[in-house]
Amino acid sequence: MIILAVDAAGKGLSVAVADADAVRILASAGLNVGLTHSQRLLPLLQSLLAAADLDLRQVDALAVVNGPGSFTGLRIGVATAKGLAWALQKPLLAVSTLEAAAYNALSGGWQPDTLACPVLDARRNEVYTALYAGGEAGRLSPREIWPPAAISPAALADKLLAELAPGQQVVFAGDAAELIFADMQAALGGRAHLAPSERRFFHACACALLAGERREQAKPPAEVRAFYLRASEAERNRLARLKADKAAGDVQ
Amino acid sequence: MVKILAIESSCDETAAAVVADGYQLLANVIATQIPTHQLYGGVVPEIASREHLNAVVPVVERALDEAGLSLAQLDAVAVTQGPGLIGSLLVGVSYAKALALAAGLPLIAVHHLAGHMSAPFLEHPDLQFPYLALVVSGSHSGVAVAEAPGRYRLLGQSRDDAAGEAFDKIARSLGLPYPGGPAIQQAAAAGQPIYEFPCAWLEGSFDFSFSGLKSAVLNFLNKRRMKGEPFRVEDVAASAQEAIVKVLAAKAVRAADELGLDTIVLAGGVAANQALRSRVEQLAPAKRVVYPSPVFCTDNAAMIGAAALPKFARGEFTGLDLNAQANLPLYF
Repeated sequence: MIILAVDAAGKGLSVAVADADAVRILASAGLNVGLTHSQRLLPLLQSLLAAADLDLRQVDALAVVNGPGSFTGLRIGVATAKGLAWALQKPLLAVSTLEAAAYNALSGGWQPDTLACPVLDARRNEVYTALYAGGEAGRLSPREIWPPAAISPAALADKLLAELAPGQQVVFAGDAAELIFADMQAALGGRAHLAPSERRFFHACACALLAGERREQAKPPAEVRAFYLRASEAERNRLARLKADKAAGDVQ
Repeated sequence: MVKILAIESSCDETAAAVVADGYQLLANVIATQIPTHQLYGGVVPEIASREHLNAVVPVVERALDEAGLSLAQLDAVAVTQGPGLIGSLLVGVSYAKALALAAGLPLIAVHHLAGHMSAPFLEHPDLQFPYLALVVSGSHSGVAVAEAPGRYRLLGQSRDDAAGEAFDKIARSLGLPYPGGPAIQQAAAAGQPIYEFPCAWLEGSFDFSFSGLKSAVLNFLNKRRMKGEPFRVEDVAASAQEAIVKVLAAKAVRAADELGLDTIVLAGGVAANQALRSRVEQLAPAKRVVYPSPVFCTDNAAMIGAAALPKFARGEFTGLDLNAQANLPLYF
């Protein structure tokens, strides 16, 4: 089964083609040069396929990194993956950015109980994060310990201090890892590690491989949604107002 | 026969259409988000973008089903490149590009306002260039000469609010729902234009200004409410509509007269306003006044397909590096 994966959710942009049955990446490409994803994504995919002598008609399923991440990046990645899947009449698999980043973080040969802490730029001095451990033997998918959340780096450091067993290591990956790493080191000392650059910005390979492991979750492209984690500001304000109105009503 | 799939997502309607040679409309699907945005009193860009991403697959699918065609039977994919809300545009542009790549079809980028100005061809394929176009929507109000397909010369435009924006803001101040244009038209039908609100004539130019009118209406309402003096919302709506329509119609007709153009095309969402249509016809009895049905005035993909047809004929295709543009010049 050939899976084509697309990731435009963060600072890096990447595409990959995997043979899911052999658990093997056939082709991959990534850009982390600050160019507009919207303009680079399809030309990058086109040149990768041409160089690899692959044809879109060989693809059995599409996969996309569906968030959290940059809202703009998610629209570009998810709309593109939906368009490819719908036009090729193939199913689409969604893989969380945090899970893909955790896979990247843990694939570096760390000691067995090492945890992965993916961190993605969420602006407003927050990161989208979660915590993962290595998966079951023979499985690529990491095991979720904390569910995804948007929190400040300081709050993350506190949570990790409480969570980590003595001597347990944690690896930071994702596009905000470098940004907050000094703070994490200050809090956790030598137990904090930064995943190498090639594993921090590109999630398409991880997405393709993880998608291959859960192919039964493939959906028609119309049913796949972006995972924003954060509601729009207007929605949050509206809900807060409704809640305040309700509270005022309850008092009366 | 050339058949083009067109996609439009510049604001709060996700739309897809299939248009064939001779401006034949084979399918026209519009998924509106208006009920969602009414909760917020206007379009929320982030919510609009998210809704587009959920709607784009079923909307395009329905358009092809209605046309009874598969992607492989099409000749091109056209999409609104801009101007508009960037997040909304990106969904349509990304989706259209992916379809074009996967189906091996050429891609055509269309300017949203060129779409509005091409909408009349869908019902009046005999329309001839050149014509005077009054383009009035929620984001743009302009008077232009359409010289040839894709060649639009600007004569004047709003220096501040667009006409549709003025309708929206005035409607909101009157407690009428979003979108303001239809709400004001409906209220105005039961009222009389008994209040004299200021019109910015900006003599010697074809430019418009509507922010003064908006402020005048707000001041009027504040004063009346503070003093407890009664007024009828219907009368205020009728008076505000009159002030907007009067200037739009007069400038369009004067421009057509001065340039010796015998056809006036009304385009954009505000062209659905009945008072505007009647006023232009009344001021220019000797001219041909063409306006689309309301469904082709507000945002739709059929007009994008209509604007794409001459581009297809000229081989004006775009690459897969096409980007959405929130601001995109049109006029020369």
